[in-house]
Amino acid sequence: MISRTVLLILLPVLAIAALTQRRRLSAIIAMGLFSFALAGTYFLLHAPDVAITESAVGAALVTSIYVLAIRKTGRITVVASEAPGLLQRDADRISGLEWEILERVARAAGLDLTLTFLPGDERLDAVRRGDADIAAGGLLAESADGVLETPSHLPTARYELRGPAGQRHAAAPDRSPPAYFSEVVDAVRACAALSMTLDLARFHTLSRYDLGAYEVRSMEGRGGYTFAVSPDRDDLYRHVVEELSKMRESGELDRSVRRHFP
Amino acid sequence: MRHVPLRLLLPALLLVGAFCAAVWVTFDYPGPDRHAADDWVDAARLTGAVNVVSAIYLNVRLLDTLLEVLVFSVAVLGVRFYLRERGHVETVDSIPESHVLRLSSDLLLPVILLLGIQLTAYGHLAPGGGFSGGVAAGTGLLLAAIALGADAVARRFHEGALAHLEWAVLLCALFLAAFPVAFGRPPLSDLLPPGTPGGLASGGSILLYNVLIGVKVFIGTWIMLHHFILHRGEV
Repeated sequence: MISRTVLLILLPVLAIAALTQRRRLSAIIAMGLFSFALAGTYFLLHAPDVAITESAVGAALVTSIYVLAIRKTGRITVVASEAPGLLQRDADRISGLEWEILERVARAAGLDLTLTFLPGDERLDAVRRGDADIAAGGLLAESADGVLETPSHLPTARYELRGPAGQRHAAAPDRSPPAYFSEVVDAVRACAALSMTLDLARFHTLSRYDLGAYEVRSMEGRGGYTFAVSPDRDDLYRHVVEELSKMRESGELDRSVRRHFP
Repeated sequence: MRHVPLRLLLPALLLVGAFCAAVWVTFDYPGPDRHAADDWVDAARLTGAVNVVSAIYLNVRLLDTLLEVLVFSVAVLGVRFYLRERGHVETVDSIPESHVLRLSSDLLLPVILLLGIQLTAYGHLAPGGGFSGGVAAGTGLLLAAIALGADAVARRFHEGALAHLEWAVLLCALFLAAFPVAFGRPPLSDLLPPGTPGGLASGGSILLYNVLIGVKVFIGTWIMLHHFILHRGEV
């Protein structure tokens, strides 16, 4: 009697849990649990035949079919380059303004985020090929072909960095620019000769170090950071645009920017 | 008002119409006829099956069950038909994910398959039957597909032959139901003797129907799951 009452109370609780989950996989698991509780109820109501069928069909078969069906639709695949402040690795977790935005989009859409780090240009190719849904990590709006660019979420500026003043500059243009940002950081810390143009996120990181020896010039042509969304995922594109405008209206975007770029 | 496309409007109207019709038909329905229900139970007892429930749905109300099997076949057909448009997902040759998973699949799969057979074969004696036995065994194959890779499991079955076998089994069940006409008996009636209640060979044709339905549902379940894996990617 008590177990039947407990199961009967559990049924609507599990049903509501399944309905209110944002993540699809959690909702499916809640539905599987609901089926299991229902099978238990049938069993206690002296209907073992129905209980066996309910647990075989409801808890096992339907759950696995749902899991297979959401296999592709249940996640957002992000490819990104590391861009300090926007999207960076801190030990074993990811942080940054863009990651915060993407997490909000994922929550609103009820999807899971998976992130792969790729070097600069390969990101857009991956999105064009359809291997990834979104490219992020300090991507500058440049009206690239074959991808959907979201409205800029943060204006950037270009900074020219030259120096140190004492060293002769004629030597610098011969050297190819450093491939990785970490090499630039190392060069600045070692006060080596540099001549390059940086975007806001990367300049912001460099400004933590002593740039006194370098000549810094803010350049013309302000642009903005953007996400590149795969053309197949226009649903996702709408989600990003919608979430961005919501964050902008509530002032959440400004607060986030100030938090990551103090 | 927002424009609703015709292909959505028609099914929606049909659904609303069907709902209204169902309400209208059942409006002055007096509830289940107590005497009819008693008659069914009495008739079910005569079949010699210990499990009265299976005696009812595989003897007294066999038509309902046959139509349900038909509904299941149409569902399998629908999965095959609509997933065909989506194209195959290219998956890398699946490597068994972990030793633990592989070992537990090796240990559990025979037990699950045996459970499926037991549920099917003893459907007239204990709770169970072809439906639950077939689904249990078919979902057990999914476990193998997760541990060994779907291709490895699919290679052991010939998909095309399986699909034919599924419909052949359904035809067998329909033929078995219509066969008594040849002996001057009404269709859906039972030709086999009740036997000794409690024995495996008792309950008339119930065991036969359970086995047919079990095989059919087993194949259908695997076909559905395999098509989802083929077109949506491995789990």
